[in-house]
Amino acid sequence: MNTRNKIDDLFKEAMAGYRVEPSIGLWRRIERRFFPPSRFSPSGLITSIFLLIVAGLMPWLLIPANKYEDKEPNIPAENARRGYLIKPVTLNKSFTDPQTMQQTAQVFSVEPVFYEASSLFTGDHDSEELYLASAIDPADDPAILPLINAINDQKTIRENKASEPVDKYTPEWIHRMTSRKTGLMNTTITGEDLPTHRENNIASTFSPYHERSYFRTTELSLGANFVPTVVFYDPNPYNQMLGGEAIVRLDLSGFRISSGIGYSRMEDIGSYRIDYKSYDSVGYFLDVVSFSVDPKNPDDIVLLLREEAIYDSVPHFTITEKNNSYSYIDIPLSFGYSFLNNGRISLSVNAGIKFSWLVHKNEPVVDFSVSNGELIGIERQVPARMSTNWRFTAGLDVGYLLTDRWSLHLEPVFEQYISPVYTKEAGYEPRKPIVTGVKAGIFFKL
Amino acid sequence: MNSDDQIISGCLEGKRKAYNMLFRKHAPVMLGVCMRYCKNQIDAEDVMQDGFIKVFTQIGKFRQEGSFEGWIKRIMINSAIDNYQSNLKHAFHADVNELEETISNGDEQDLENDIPDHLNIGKEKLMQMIQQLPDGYRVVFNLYAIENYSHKEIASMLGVSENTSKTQLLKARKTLRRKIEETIRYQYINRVAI
Repeated sequence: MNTRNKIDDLFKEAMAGYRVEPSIGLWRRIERRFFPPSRFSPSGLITSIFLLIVAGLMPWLLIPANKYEDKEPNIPAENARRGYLIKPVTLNKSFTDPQTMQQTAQVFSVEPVFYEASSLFTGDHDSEELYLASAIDPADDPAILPLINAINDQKTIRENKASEPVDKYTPEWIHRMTSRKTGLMNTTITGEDLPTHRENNIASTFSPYHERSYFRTTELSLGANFVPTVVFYDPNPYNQMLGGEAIVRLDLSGFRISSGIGYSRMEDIGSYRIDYKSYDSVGYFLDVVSFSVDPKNPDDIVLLLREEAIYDSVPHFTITEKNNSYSYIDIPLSFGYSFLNNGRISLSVNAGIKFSWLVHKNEPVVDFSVSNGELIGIERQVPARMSTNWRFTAGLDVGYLLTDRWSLHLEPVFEQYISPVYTKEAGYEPRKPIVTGVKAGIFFKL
Repeated sequence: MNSDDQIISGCLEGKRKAYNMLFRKHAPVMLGVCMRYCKNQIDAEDVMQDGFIKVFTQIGKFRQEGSFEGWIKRIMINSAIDNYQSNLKHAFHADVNELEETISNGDEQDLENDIPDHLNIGKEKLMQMIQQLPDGYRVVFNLYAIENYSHKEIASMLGVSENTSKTQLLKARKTLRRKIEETIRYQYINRVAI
């Protein structure tokens, strides 16, 4: 039988529906116990793909489109001239000179266009068809001058055809034509077969300087990478690290060297032990309030007792966790080799080192909130972070050429810490975690 | 996804969001329950953490016979009892079992005396009084006075005799009564002083 009294009712009524908001970290602790962290998180990959798509759209968003077709109606009729737009085409197969067996050919595409006549094309050239070696703006293309020279040469040839033998000019033409074959040329042409009528067979004849500019082997590029990675503190759960870097890259005949500066930020769960003491009841004693002689039995003494609780300072401890964040300045240096360059796609392997410098850390103050408790001390369970780190880095870079100068890059990366992340302390084995992730970026060829 | 049925079905499908919803919906009340069985909020959160892990792992066993909240509460109380019993092994304990006294009706009547019908004591203060009880008193008082278990059931749950349960309940009531009297006296002194 449940015999109740006023005290029971008082407390039962007061405690009905009594609510206390749990601390912020409680759900996280439950979550970490009930949902063991996955070894693979697709969020970084999804983010990388998304950013790659965004980066791929950037050139179209930032660079004005070359809508020359739309501009044609704006050219005054008296200044409009007909020409051919000559664009270098990315070499996707080799051309071999039958005489020298040298693979030095360059292929151009030709597209009829209208252009606005300028002082360069006045006089006798007004009525002629010109070839403009330009992909975007003819005035900015270094190929325009040699092309004009070629046209002038052809004009000279034609004008002097009657008085001077063609052979005088033929050797040079043959040299140009065989050394730099173009889409306009017949690669098997010889001196004897040189056509006399060339109005529709004019080719680009670049000077050695401009030829080198089109066949250069050294390239300098600037780029930016977004670098989401995951740091594995085996056997503990992973932590995500987000970063970005600005890169300068020098390509030299397939080899490349790159460096730059980056910023990365990562979160870490800091574990703290809080020692405190509280005055808790540890038992009780019976206090003699009064005593008297038993009137019925004078030999006995009747004691009036009162129970008193015994309180003592009892030490306790609890473990609490805080989200700490750390920001680093990174300086990468890597060397690579491009082993595949097929049209728009390129594949390169890279390896190097990365120096990281801890520039900012956010370690929230550990709260102590125990009623009737007195704080003894807070002990950090994980040592402090090192201010500098070295990492070995390796990656496989996949490049996609958007235009002649802009390219997108996606590079799965692997990193191994050479120096430990945490300072060395007694009883704590310094960790050298591994890092995996993806670099997604865009590069511009200078 | 707000009703318990939706939350339960979400949890059974393994949806993390459903587990989080379950926690957010029931944690404040359950922490209020756990705090009654512990000395402070930190210990209560530890008990509740164990309780929710049990809820999550055993949610498939919930039969729709009673309320879901009642089922969770029952698990939390069991978790609190487990915690109490595990602490018994380590902590210094004034074993009240050895100090069993004959409880007379007079003792029960004494407890009724001098307690006004309407007390002006806040819930937080009452919670504090419960938390300051010795562990054994606190558990028995909670189970008997607030959860409405009988001494037989409590004895079975705690592995003690019914008499021990009764003794501890009586001592808990005495202690609480003294604390209430002190509070009332303190309030009276303050009023006089003002």
